[in-house]
Amino acid sequence: MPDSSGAIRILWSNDSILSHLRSAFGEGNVFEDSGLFFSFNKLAVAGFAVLAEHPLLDSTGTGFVGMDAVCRLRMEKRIVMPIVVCSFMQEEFMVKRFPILMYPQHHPYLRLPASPEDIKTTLMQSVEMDEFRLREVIEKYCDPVGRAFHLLTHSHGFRMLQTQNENLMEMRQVIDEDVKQFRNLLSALPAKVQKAGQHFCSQSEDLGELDASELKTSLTKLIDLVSNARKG
Amino acid sequence: MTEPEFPQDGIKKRYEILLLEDDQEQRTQIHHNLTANGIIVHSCSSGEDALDTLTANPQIGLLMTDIELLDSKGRRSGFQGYDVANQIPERFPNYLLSVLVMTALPKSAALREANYFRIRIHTMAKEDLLEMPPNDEQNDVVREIRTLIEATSNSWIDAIRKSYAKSRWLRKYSNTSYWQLYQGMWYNKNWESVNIAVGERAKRIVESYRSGDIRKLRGGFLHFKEEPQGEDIKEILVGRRVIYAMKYDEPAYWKTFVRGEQSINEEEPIIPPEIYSSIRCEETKQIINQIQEKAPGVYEIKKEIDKLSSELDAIENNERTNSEPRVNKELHIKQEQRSKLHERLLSIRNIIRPSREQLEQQLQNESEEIQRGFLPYLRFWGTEFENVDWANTKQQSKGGSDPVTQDLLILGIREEDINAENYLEWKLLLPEEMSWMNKITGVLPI
Repeated sequence: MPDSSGAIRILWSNDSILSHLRSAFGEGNVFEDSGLFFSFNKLAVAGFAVLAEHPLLDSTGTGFVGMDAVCRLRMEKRIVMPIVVCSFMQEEFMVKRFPILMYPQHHPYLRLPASPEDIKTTLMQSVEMDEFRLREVIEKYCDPVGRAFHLLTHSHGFRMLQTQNENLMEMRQVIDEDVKQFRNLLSALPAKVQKAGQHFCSQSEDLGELDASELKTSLTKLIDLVSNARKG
Repeated sequence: MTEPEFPQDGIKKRYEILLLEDDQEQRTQIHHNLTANGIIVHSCSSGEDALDTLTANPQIGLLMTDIELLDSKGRRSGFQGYDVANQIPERFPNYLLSVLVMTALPKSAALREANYFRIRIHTMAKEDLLEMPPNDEQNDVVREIRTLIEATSNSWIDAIRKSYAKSRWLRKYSNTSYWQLYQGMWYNKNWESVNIAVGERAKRIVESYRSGDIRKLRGGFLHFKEEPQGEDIKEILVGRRVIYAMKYDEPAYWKTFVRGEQSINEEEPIIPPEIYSSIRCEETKQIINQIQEKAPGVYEIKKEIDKLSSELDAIENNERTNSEPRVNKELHIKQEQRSKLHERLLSIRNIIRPSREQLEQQLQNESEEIQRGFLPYLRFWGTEFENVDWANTKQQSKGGSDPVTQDLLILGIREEDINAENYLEWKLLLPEEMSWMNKITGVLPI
């Protein structure tokens, strides 16, 4: 249970809710930019709340820079306190897109619109993570190589590709979704993995002309490459 | 002070395991396959249920778990496999449990998953478990599972308990029981590297003894704490190995000080009766009688000094957390008392000195056994052994005032005992310890 006397730090966009948040949580606790990552005392913080789709910080164009902020807080600041993820999107969509939300006790989801009180209540019902959970969250859901590995080994489409021998065209939609996500991660991966990853992505576009075993072999090689990159 | 002890009424481990798997289809299949191979399986789909099942069934010897456990909504909201495993040492302190992680990942990735475990784990491909043939005793998977369960059995733990040494020295400096040590070693995920580090450190200490720098045992190398944890366990293991080294050179010392079978205080300058009665020359006895006559009450002074030293140690330890003026005053008074007694002892030693030197010369005419028996006595009277020819052949270096280090000097540690490249071949280990270490580092895959 978070320390109820601690501050709640907020990352939000400059919208109509911002002033309400500032009056509810304090001027110095609500940030519009990367100031959130600097000069704070972990001991005095009960937890965080971020707006998943934060337009001002969106230099990558993914539309969900708030989610990058969640990863940065875990990876760079080693934050163990809960982080409430606020979004107008459907929860199922967000969990699928951002597997870090698989841990609802540490990353509770709050569908907007919601009040500052909702943020506080949601945060107080969540829990801090221990060092082992933090390690796993960072390695699997924050580090780009770890995210790529987890996507390749755990996502629905890639798992189907590995375990089933059905006509690949019938699985096209789910595989395409996973490939799209993998493509988004490519630029953050080591050069060697990027090259193999691009090759795999282009192969997957020609599903109709490939037999299942050829794409499976390519996927297995890619998994090995990413796995080795994680070791480094 | 906690007595070293192992759980007395050993739980008989049977071939029972706890299977923790969230996927119902896979859980059913693995359950069926293991049962068909004579293994009793308890199944759970959540971490919380797994802990309850382990509590109710202490005969279970192995936890087989998936890493990621999903709830009905496909989230990881409950205890994960590593959450359950990480709680085992504290939740079940009276017995050992093996942990096997089932994984569909490549080997290198599976090993990486071990990072999330605080304790030692073993891994197995889930595919192998899903495709096991029934009634196949020779199947590698069945054999590995049986080995993992047997490793937690109390039958061999009992054997070690019966034959293992009880070091009074260790008990003095740590309230960790041997059982706690074993548990620490069993669950230590980095045991291999700890073992090498401990071996190397023990070797350095032994080398220090040989070069005469023996004070490092207490001063620079070992740092015993009241409740050793993690790194501190290494210190205790180092100390143990140094002590075991002595077993091979001096069984009598081993009996007296390590196993605690005899209770002679090595620091008391008393000549054992069997040594006295074996003295060949009458002149030797006459010199001893002279010394005894010139130093009445000296043993009592020594005892009083020892008593004050223990009290001062206790006060100094207490002072670290409590620096009241009253404590400082008490400390000062006792230090003065000890200092005065020490001066008296030194003056008596000076009076005795000519007779002592006479005795040192006279002992050249006695047997090696007699000479060895006189070492504590001469040490008490302040003999400098490097000036005594016959003593130099038996001891390797000088210095040190505590009984353990003094005796290491006398006994020496043979170079061949610690020269082997493989630390497991050093004679610093008991055969039982060697066997146990092989069990966890050799037989079982890491």
